[in-house]
Parts: sequence; structure tokens; C-alpha cells
Amino acid sequence: MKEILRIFSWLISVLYLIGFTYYLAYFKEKKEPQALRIRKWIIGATLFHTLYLVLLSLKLGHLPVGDIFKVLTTCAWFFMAVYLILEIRLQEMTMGVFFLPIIVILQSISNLFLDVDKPLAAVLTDVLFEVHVAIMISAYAAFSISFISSVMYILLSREMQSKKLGIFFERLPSLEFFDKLSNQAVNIGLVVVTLGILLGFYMGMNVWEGRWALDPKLLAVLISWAIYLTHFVTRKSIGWQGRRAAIVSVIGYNWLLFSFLIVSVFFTKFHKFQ
Amino acid sequence: MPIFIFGIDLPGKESFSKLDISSIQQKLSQENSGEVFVAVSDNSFEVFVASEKRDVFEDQFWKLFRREFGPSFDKLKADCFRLDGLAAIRHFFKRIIGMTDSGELDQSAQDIRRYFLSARERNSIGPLFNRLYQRGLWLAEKVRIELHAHKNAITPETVVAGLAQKIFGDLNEHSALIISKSLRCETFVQQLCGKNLGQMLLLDLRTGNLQEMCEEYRGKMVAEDQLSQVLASVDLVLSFDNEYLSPSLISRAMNRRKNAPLLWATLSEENGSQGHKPDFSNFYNIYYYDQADLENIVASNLKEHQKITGLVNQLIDKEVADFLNWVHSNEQYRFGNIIGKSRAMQEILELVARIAQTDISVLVDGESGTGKELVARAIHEHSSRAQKPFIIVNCGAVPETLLESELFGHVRGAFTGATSNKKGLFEAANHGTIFLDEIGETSPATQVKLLRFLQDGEIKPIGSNQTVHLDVRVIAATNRDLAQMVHDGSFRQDLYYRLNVIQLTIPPLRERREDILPLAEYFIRKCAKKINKTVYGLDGDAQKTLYNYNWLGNIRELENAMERAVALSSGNVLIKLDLPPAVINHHQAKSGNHQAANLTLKELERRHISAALEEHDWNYDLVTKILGIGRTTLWRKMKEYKISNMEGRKESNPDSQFYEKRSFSDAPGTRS
Repeated sequence: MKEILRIFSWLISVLYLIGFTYYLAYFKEKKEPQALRIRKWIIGATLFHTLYLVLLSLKLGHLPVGDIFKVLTTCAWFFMAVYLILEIRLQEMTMGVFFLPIIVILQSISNLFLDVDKPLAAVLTDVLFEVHVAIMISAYAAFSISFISSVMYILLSREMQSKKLGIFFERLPSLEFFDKLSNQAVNIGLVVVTLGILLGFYMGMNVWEGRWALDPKLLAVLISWAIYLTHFVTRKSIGWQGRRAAIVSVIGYNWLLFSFLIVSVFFTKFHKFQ
Repeated sequence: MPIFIFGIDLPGKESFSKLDISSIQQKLSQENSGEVFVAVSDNSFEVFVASEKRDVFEDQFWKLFRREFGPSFDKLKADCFRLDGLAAIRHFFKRIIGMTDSGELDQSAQDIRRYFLSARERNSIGPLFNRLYQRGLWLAEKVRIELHAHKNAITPETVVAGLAQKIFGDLNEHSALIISKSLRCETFVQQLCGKNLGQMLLLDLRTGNLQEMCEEYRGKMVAEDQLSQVLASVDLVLSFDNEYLSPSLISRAMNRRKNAPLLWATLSEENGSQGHKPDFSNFYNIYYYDQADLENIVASNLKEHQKITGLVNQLIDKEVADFLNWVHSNEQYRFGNIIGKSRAMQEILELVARIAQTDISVLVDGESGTGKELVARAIHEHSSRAQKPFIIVNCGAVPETLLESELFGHVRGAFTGATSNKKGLFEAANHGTIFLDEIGETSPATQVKLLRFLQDGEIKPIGSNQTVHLDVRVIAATNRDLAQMVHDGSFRQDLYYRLNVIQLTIPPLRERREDILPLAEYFIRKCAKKINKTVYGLDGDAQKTLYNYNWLGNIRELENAMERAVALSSGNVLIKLDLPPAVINHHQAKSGNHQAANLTLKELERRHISAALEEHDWNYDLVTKILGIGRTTLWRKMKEYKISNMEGRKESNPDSQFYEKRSFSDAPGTRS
């Protein structure tokens, strides 16, 4: 079982990687007949990923959210699902080429370090904890969407300001499209992450009895929350929009990734509950 | 017959739209022999002529033209251009495709097609232009699908519009400010309004013709003292002259607009100075382009574009050469292997030319022997799949049980006798076209599988667990009324709609008698060559006989008749007596019940009954005696076959006819 899970997990990475090469080919020369094939492939890969998560949950005896590397694969899966819904609703496939690498990286890191046999801390068997993680993952998914569209905004905007129109000008939709998408994603993400943090506070108070304020992970999340709040406030009050908003979103996401990976693994003691 | 074109091209100076084209068209075509049509746009008109006597046409045209234009005529005539032969043919193709002289594709193709069709309505178009038109439509689709040539922006106007769309997406909620002293800005305004610009604002410089233009495009004039306010809210600035915009004015406005995205294009006015360059270094989200930037973009797009126009020109040259071959060969009225000069056939062939390049499925219907397979083949040969297989399946000829495995293949052990894997015809036709003849004969199970293929592009061989993804274009044909079969429940409705994306209904030969003689001549040549005889054609009497005959077996019957006639003929020209007796004697047998060779029993019965009824003037007593059936039977059969006396009454339904119009005792069935 353990070996099968291992093979499956790497297979998922490979499937997404092939999906990425498809998106790249589509981006280079936009041919509609390819579109359907790509979508089928990606849906297939995501379904396979679902199967993997089900097997993993059965093996673990709980949802795969217990530690950082289990969360990573769940994250990858959820991001993928959100992205697919978005792609189908917006009828815009050019974003895949930027999105898939993130998925591949998240999944591969999870594959490298995932330890199925590691026992789960007692606190984490609580249902509330699973709700907390689910909320946080949803918020991260929204921020990922915002990040991708901000990156594309910056690329397109730079190309237009350089006055040499190339492949981004030809392939990507309008700046307005990315701006709207990014802003909406941040709005949603901000609401959801606030809920997640509040729930985390509530649980933390029960477990740590007031010592939680020292947790680096918590601090890191609060900082990224502040960055996205800045995005929202500056946009509404002093009209930071377009390029500047995109830069804030990119900074926020970079910090998020940093806190998600580096801080979780190397710094925090408390948040791992060991 | 030589083709030539003459006309006047005066961009932006004189309007020809007031000309009464239909009357010019009519006079030209009435009084001369040849093909002619006139096409007009806002600033040009062209007369396309195919005739031996070009001078007569031209003289008459100028006479008509002088009447319309009066004194300014001589000046106009001096600007006239003339194109002959190859150049004229090439020009015609370019116009049908919609390619301008600079190589851009635009909407003008719509106009010329409309003029062409209306000229054809008046019967002033003959085989030459019909052929050119058909090939032109085909070419236009090929260019559109394969080369995407319409996407390149190769003028500053289109570049600006493209930039605006890249920044703002949909333009209809956005506004543009235009600062210009002359009408130089008009082409830009036109382009932007063509992209649904929400609001056009024009700086009021008290110039009369600008005001006119502003009204034409439903814009709004802005006074100079409002400029700062407008600059703060507008999304697009097109400035032909920056001198009205002082740096302080700009920076004040920019501070107020809170960095909302702005596209600013400065265009120099005829080599003049463009004023100062505004300083935007303190602001972001501003996309500033000056004349030189736009020209650089145009230049780099042009390079790309020239590659494409080069390809298009190659295509046109090839098409011109093909056209000349066709003119010099003896095969006029042909498209692929199809011969048809009748209007109905021409329209079908035009449709074929337009849909051939796409992958949509086509349903061909028509009576037996009308050439459905030829049409399918023509579609295949004019598509990008021409080099790939074209597979013909007659669904009526294969036993129902075998058809499924024939089409989709099977794996070993799928059923008794399946000793090895076998690929189906669909797989054999991969990347090509499959032609399903007699589609109405397929079983429900096969219909489900066909539907699945049409929806998902997937098939599953019998007994296999794996679906196979295929790229096959489906053309189906039937001589039955599929809509009726859907109604009766014997044909799946969803499959019907999937197949019937494009329906080509081929009319029977008797409804397009103009095609009989060209076809007959074609078959005579073909048969004569086959059996090594020298036969040139038909004499007048034989032609008349062929023309008047009913051809219930359609082209197949005609071909057989001609084969027989050629084999039996003793001279170099076929005479009436060489034709089959059935054709000669058709006067005695109005409904053609002698030509029973290709009929079903039911059809034979229907024809026999209606013939008997007609012959005896709908006297039911007499007819029942002659046919040897009772009145009830006659009545039932008439109802079944929908036979009714159309000349006497309008009703097609025998029930109402019998019970309402006729006296009760006269109706068949009431006494027996």
C-alpha cells in the first residue's frame, strides 16, 4: 500500500508536468482543437489525484491535512479544482501555463518528504482542526489565482510599455481582465483567511492557554494577511490599481509561500504540535 | 470569352453610393450578350464583364454613367482603371476573399458577394462568373481558416484599437478624447467606433467639418476650458497636436485620475511638430505611444503579414491557373466531378465550397441516383483532409448485425467467429472522411454509437473496454425522409440533429432539366471512350426527347440510357431511335411506370395506382375494376400513399376529400 501510494504520488507530478507542456504548446500557437484535449487530460489528472487522496486518507485514517507535506498535496489538488472551474467559466486557457508549475512544485515537495507512518498529534484529531485547514486552503487557492493573474498583468503591461508587442500581447486577454480577476480573488481570499485565522485563534486559546502569540507561523500568516489587507485598502482609498496592485499581490503571495514552506518546516515549534 | 474589369477607385473623394445600381445592371445585361455585374462601395465602383464585345459594354456603361454624374463625368472617366485576363481574374478572387491592395482582409467581401447574388437573380451571371464565385468562396474559407490572416494590425489605426482592447477589454464602457485640427483623425475614430467605443469626445477647435464628423459618430464636443476635467476621467487620448496640453495641465489632470489606466497616442500631423512629449514619469498605468512607436509596430506586423499575403497570393495564382485550365477544357459547369449548371445545383456547389474546409457533419439527401456520393466526395476533396482516406460505407448493404463491427471494429473473442482483432472503418478513415450512405437503414444500437462518436469523437470497438479517440469527418446520406423517421421513432432525434448540421438536398433530375444535356454529353463522351467508338453528341430530336423525359431514376438512369445508346448507335451522332424505348415512349406512360428497375414494390404500386386514377379521370368504379381491388382497398392505399386528385381539389388528404367534397355514395369504400 505504501509503495503504491508512493508511485501514485509521483505519477501525479508527471501527469501535471505533461499537462504543463500541453499548455505551453497551446500558448505558443493557439489552436482550438488542442484545447479540448488539454482539458480532458487535466481533468483526468485531477481525478487521479482525487483517487490518490482517497487512498491516502484510508491509509492514514484521517483527512490528509495533519502536517505540512500532507497539506501540500491536498492544496495542490484543491488549487487544481479551483483553477479548472475558473478556466471553464472564463473560457480562458492561457493561464494554465503559469498555474501548472506551482501545482507541480507543491506536489513534488509533498512527494519528497511525505511520511505516511508519522503519527498524528492528539490535538489534530479534532474536526474543528480539519475545518480550519480547509478554510485556510481555500483562502490560499484564492491568493494563488490572484498571484497568477497579477504576474500575467505585469508581463503584459511591461510588454506594452516597452512598445515591442510580442507573444504576451498576442495571446493574453486584456489587462482589465487580469485586474478584475486578481481583485476579486483577493477580496474573497481576504474574507476567508480572516475566518480561518479567527478559528485558529479560538482553537489555539484552548490548546496553548495564552502562549500562542509566540508562534512564528502565526506571525507569518498575520503578516501576509496584513499585506493583502493593504492591497484591499490602498485600492479602495488611494486608488492603487493596475500595476501597483499587481505588485502588492505578488509580494503577498511570495511571503505566503515563504511562510507556508520555510517557516512551517524550520522555525515553528508550536504549530507542529509535537 | 475574355474576362475584364473596369471601374473607378477614388478613396474618400466621391460617393458612388447614390448610383442606381440595379437599373445600370439591368440595362447592361439586357442589351448585350455576356455576363456582367456591377459592384459599388462608398468610394469605388467596379464592373465585372465576361464577353466577346468589351467595347460595347464599356461604351454603354459610360453613357449611363454620364447621365448619372453630368459635368464631373470626364474627370471621373480619366481616373478609370481597366484589368484584363489574368489580372482581372486575380482581382476578382481578391475581392471575393476581401483582400485589399495592401493585403489586408476586411469586410468588403460581404458587399461584393451581395452584388453578385443580386446580379444572378436578374440572370446576368453565366457559367464563368459562377465558377469564379464558387472557387472564390472556397478560397476565402481556406484563407480564413488556415492562415488567420485577418488578425494582423498593419495600420496605425488598427494598432491603436488593438492596444485599447488589450488594456480595457470591452471598449463600450470607456471613452476617448480626440484632439485634432483636421479630419486626419477620422480613420481612427472610425476604427475605434467599429470596436464599440462607449463615448467619443472631441476638443472643440471651432472647425466646421470636425463638428460634422462628431455628429456622424455620435460624439460630444468639449470646450477648451473643460480639458483638464475631461483628461482626468477619460481612458484614451488621441492627440494630433499636444500644443493644447500644457505640462501643468497634464500633471494636474493625471494627479486627479488616481492612476486609472490610460492609453495615450500622439500622432504627428503631416510631418509637422507634435508639440512636446508629455512627461509621465511620476505616474504608472499610462501607456504612451507616439507616431514613431506606432510605425515601428506596424512595420514589424507587416513583416509577419507579408509572409501570409505571400501564401495567399500563391493560393490565388494556383486558383487562377486552375480556372484557365477549366475554361479551356470541355468541362464547364463542373465542380470536382459534379456537373450542374442549374441554379439549384450551383447553390449546392457554393454551399459545398463554403463548408468543405470545416469539420462539421453534413447530411446529403436526395432521391436514389442523384449523385449523393459525388457530392460527399467533392466535399472531401476540397477539404484539408483531401490527402487522407475517404471511406464509403453503404449502411443498407451490410447486414445490420455486421454493420456495427464493420464500422467500429471488434476485439478478439467479442463474439463467435471473432478470431482476431479487427479495426473498424472509422479507424481506417482516421484524419479523413467517412461517408455513410443509407444512414436511415442503421439499427438503433448503431445509431447510439454514431451519436457518441459525433458528440465525443470517440468509438469503442465491440468487446473492447477502451475507447479510441478519432478525428473523422462524417458525411451521411439518405434517400428516405429522415425527419419523418424521427417523427415515427425509427431514427434517433439527437443523432438526426447532430448529423443535420448542414443539409444538402439534391433535387431530382426532372426538377433541374438544364442539367440533363450537359450530363448526357458527359456520359456519351465517357462511354464512347470506354468502348472505343466515335460519338460526338445528340441530334436535336434526341435532345428534345431526353429533355422532356421524366428521369425517375435520375442521373443513374440517364447514365445507363446513354451507355446503351452509345453501344447501339450506328452513326457519329445519337438519334432518337438509339435511345431506350422507355425514354422514347414516355408520352404513353406519363408517370413512367416502365422504369421500374430501381423502384421498391411500394413505390411501384403507388405509381401504378396514381397512373390508373389519372388515366381514367379519377373514376373510382372503373379504376377498382381495372386494378382488381375493392373500394376499401383502393381507399386505404390512396391514404397510405397520400394520393389525391390535386388538380380538382386543393386538399392533399384523401379523407377530407372523400367525405366533404364528394357525395357520400361516390366515395370509394362506402359500398363494399
